[in-house]
This record gives sequence, C-alpha cells and structure tokens, in this order.
Amino acid sequence: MWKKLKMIPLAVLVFVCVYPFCFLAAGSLMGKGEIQECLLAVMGDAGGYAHFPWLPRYPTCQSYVEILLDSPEFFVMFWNSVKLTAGVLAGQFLFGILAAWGFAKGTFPFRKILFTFYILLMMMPFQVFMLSDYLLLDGLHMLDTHRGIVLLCIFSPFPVFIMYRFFHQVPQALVEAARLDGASQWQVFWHIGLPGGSSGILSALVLSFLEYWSLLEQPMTFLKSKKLWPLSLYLPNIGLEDAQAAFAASVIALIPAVLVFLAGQDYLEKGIMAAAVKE
Amino acid sequence: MGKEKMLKLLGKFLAFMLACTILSRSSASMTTAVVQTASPQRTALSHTVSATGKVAENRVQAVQVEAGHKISRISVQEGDRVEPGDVLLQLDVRALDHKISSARREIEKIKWEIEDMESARRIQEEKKELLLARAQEDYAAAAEKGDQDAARAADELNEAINRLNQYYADLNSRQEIQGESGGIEEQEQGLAEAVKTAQAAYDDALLARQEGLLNAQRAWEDALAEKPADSTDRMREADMKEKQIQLRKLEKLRKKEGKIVSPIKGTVTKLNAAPGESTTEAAPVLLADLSSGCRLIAQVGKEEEKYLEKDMPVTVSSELKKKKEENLKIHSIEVSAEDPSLLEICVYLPADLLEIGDSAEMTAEKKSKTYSTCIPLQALHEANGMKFVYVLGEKETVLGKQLTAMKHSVNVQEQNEQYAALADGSLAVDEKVIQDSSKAIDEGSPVRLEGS
Repeated sequence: MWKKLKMIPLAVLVFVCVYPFCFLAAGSLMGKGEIQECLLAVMGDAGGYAHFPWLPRYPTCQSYVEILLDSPEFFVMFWNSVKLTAGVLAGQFLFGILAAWGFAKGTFPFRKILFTFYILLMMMPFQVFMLSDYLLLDGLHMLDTHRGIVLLCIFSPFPVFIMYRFFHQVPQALVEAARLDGASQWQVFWHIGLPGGSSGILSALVLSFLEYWSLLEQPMTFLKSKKLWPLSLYLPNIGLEDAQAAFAASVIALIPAVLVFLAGQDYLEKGIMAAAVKE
Repeated sequence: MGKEKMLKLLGKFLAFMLACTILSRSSASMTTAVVQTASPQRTALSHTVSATGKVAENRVQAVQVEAGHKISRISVQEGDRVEPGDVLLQLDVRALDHKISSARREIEKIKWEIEDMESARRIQEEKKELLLARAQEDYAAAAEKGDQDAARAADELNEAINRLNQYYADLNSRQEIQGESGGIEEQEQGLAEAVKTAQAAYDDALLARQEGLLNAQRAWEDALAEKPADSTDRMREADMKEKQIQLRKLEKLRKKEGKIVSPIKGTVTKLNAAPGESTTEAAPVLLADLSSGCRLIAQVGKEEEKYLEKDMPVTVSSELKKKKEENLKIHSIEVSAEDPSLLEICVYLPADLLEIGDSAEMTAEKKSKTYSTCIPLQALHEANGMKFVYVLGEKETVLGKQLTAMKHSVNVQEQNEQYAALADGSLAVDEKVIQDSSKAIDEGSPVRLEGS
C-alpha cells in the first residue's frame, strides 16, 4: 500500500514529463484551422493565452501527409541532420576513443594536467569558442560546409570524458600483464581497451547522437546556405500558417532520437552514471 | 524491446524516410509550375485592325419610267447583273397605244380651243375699234351741235339786246318829242324780258354743249379703256406643249415596243414594280452602277479609331472568292449611324474585284514608334486595375537556389495583340518575364523553366 502511495508523486512527475509529448502528438493530428485557433494567442497578435486540448477535435493525418509527401525541404534538412550526426559520431568514434584511451592508460608526461585542461574545455559554453571557431573555419575555407561543423564537433571533450571513465575502469594489472606478454600498444588497446570500454563508447555515442541530432548553435552560426541546414533549424522557420506542420515535423524528428534512446538506454544510463561518479 | 530490434526499426525508419524523400521530390516537381520566359525586346508595335464587311455599290442609278404605265412583264430580279441595253421591264403596248391616241385627241382638242379663243379675241378687238370710232364721232357731233345751239342762242340774245337798245333809243327820241310815257313801260318790260329769256337760253345752250361734250368724251374714254388680262389661251398653249411632250415620250416608248432597258452596266439592287401593276412616281428599278467600281463597308469598334486614318493602305481579301488586293486606301471613316459605338470604314474597290453583296475582310496595319522594352502580351497580367508581370527570380531556399516568380508592377505605354510596350526602365535588360506557365502562379511561387 505504501509502495502504491509512493507511486502517486512519481506518476505526477511522469505526467509532467510526458505532457509535452502528448501535446506534440495531439497537435500533429490537428487540422490547420484548429491549431491556428489554439495558437493564435501566442503566435498571432490576438493576445491572451494559448490553450491546448488533450485530443484533437477533428483528428487528421494531413500534417503528416504534407510533411512526408509534399515537403522536400523537410527531407533535405532531415538528411542534413543525418549526415552531420553520422559524421560527428564517426569522427568521435575515431578520435575520441583514442584520445580517451590515451588519457586513461597513456604514460606520457603532463597527462593529468592535459586531461584537466581538456575537461575544462568541456565546461566552456559554445559562445566562448564561437569567434575562434569561426576564424578557424574561415581559415580552412570550411565556413558554410558540413565538413566544418563535423570538424568542430569531432573533437568535443564530452565523449572523451565519458569514455575516459570507462577505459579508466579497465584494470591496470590486465594491461600490464598484456604488455609483459609482449603485446604492443595497439594490441593492448584493441584486445583489452576496446572490449573493456565498449559500453562507455556506446553510451558516449548515444549521448552524442542525442546532442548532435538537435544541434542548433553551430549550424546557425556557421551555415549560411539554407540547403545545408539541419532539421533543428526547420522548426524555427515555421510560422503560424504552418504550425501543424511543425508539430508533425517535431514528431518525425523525435522518432530516431527515441529509437536510438531505446536501443542504447542501458549504455546511456551507464554513461550518465560514469559522468556523475567522482574520480 | 531488444536493442537489435530498435536498431532495425531505426534502419526501417531511415529507409521509409528515403522513400518519402523521393516521393516528396517527385510530388514537388509535379506541382511546381513549369514556365516559359521571354526577354524584353526592342521593337515597334504593329496594330492590325481587321474587320469583315459587305461590298456595296458606289453609285445607284434609278431607271425612271413615267407614272401610270401598265407593266406587262419584268425581265430581271434583284441581284441580277445587267449590261447596257438589257431589257428590264416590258410595258403593255396596247395600253401604250391607247394612251398615245388619247394624247393625240387631247392635243387636237386643245388646238381647237385655242383657235376658238383666237377668233373670239379678233372679234372683240374689232368691236372695240368700232366703239372707239363711234365715240369719236359722237364727240365731234356733240361739239358741233353744242356750238350751233350756243351760236343760235347768242344770236337771239344779241337780237333781243338790240331790240331793247333800239327801243330805248326810240324811246328817248319820242320823249323829247312828245313827252309821253304811258304804254311805253309795258314795251320795255317785254323787251327786257326777252333779253333775259335769250340770255337764259344762251346759258342753257352753253351748258348743254358742255354736258354733251363731257358725255361724248366719257364714252370715248370707255371705248379706249383696256380690257382685263386673259391668259387662258396661253395656258392652253402650255397644256398643248406638255401634251405634245408626253406624246413624244409615248411615241418614243412605243417605238421601243414598250421595252425599258438598262442604261448602264450594273446590278439590280431594288425592284419597285410588279407585273400587272402600273408604274408609279418611284423608280421601278434601281441599278448599282458597276462601271464606277464598288466599295467595301466594314464596321469596327470605336476604340480602334486611333489605329485608323484616312488614306492609310489596307488589304482587302475574300476567301470565298479567293481574291486579294493590297494597297487600297481608306476613303472615309465615319461613326455608324446605327450604332454610335462603331465606326464605318469605307474602302473603294477597283471594278471587277468583288461583286455587290460579297463579304470581304479588310486589314489595316499601323506601326508605332520603337519601344525599348516590349514583352509578349501573355506575360502581362492585371489585377485591381494594376498591371504587372512576373519576372524570374532566384531565391535561396532549403532546396538550394530556387527559381521563383516575382511580381513586378509595370506601366504599359501601348499594346497590340502580341506585345505590350512598357515604359523605359520598367524592366532591366537581363530580366526575364514569365510568359507562360503550366499552373497558376503568384508572388514567390516556385517555378521551373521548361526543358530544365
């Protein structure tokens, strides 16, 4: 009984968390007129408060049909998002793992100080590096290209930090034993590091996916051509006239994130825990 | 659900999105308006005014026949072409003969009447002369008689006076002698009375003379007086002349055996006669004179007036007759009497080009000055009284550079059926106007060039 009573505040919390999704799903099934009527207060000049019903009065899949069959620009952005996210994840997989392994098990001088500086960078908000990033990309002639965005994001310290925690947990004795047995650095990394830190790698990639799928600042700053914009910039460009499309687009944009989340839920939890545990 | 299943779902989702990408692109390419563009060009606008009209006669000639002739036969119908000498009508010869004899009788009668009047006039004049002579004679006689009576009265008076004087002379002598006076007075009285009577007779004689002369003079004057004018004889002479003219005409008609022939080469446009009826004052046959050519009368809207002017060259053609004549001239442009919103264009046609009643098309072309910005007319649109064109623009969109239609207000200076001339500077030289679109377009509509 006590357990059941304890569930009540949790249920309320769940409802609060899930409500935006319900709101989104209901909105995506509303007709143009109905959604405009609901949002006119905030998106038009009518004043007052927006109201939002739980269920649409006249449910319709028109918004989905419009988005999926009649909005090629949505797909351009969708595939831009896919391209950016995939590029960043691949890059992070390539460079982040090695960096994290190096920091965790490397034996070079100033390793700890370097790592601390590196992690310090993680604390810096995007605005701090915006100008330097811009100048860098300009120097490399990578402004207004996907490559530029990918290049900047590949070297994000956050996944390195996550993976570092997992690599760090690989027993040092195991590494030493392998080295004594004559294993090279690469063999140690390949046969001991990678299997040992796989869950960290995956959790870092899942977290990165969720972050870069909704990447907003970098594309907004470094991409001028609209044709290079990712999906995260589609929604801010939608007005009251296309509000119902915004809801449907949001639901569709949500699907890969939800699938990736569900697929990597375990790793995600581990990664979050790893980030939370003090060294 | 397992991780693998989720990943599979993610894969399926991406495949679904790929399919939708292709579908949405195809759908967009189908819904995007395919347009044809044209560049503004420098040209002069030619205004062609075409109108279909009917060929009409240049001049109508009436074939006149005296009223009252009986028509026995009509040899033509409306629309028939006739040559000079062709028989139009046949008059009744017997009726004509009858009329001729009547006319002759009439003339004869008038002639007799005139002769009678001449004779009466002669007698009248003779009578007048006689009266005058008699009046003169009466006057002379009255004067003579008066003079004689007066002279006789004067003699008697003188005699009476002499006797009285004699008496007085006698009396004086006697008194001197005898001195007696009785009985003498009675004699004196008688003598004085005689003088008085003689004097009165003399006065009467003078008065009678004067009166007789006056009467005789009046009678003379009466005989001399002019008689009132009488034009009856002249009128009858005029009647006779008229009758003679009529007779000559009748004889002339009779000589032609009552046939009325066409005087010209022409077409019968109207018949005002029927067999068995008599001719009236109106001309029984109206002929369109073909020798003086014909004219095309075409009607056009008054708004075309600015493109037409007198003497401008026109081309007249008839598809039916397969005839075409260029470089004819507009003879006149007038407002139609039937409909003031129309203009009547008259073009004189050469003889034998077309026939009266034929239908023909008139085409006149007028060239304007050269305009630097001319666009095809179908590129010009109008809404709410404002004229505009859609020019091809480029917009940066999510799909890349996209061609769009951009509304551009223009000031049209002149236009014809093909082109519209815009005011200088309305469009840049390199701007392209959309002249045709597969779908309705509006400001900002995405478009695709035909063939791209």
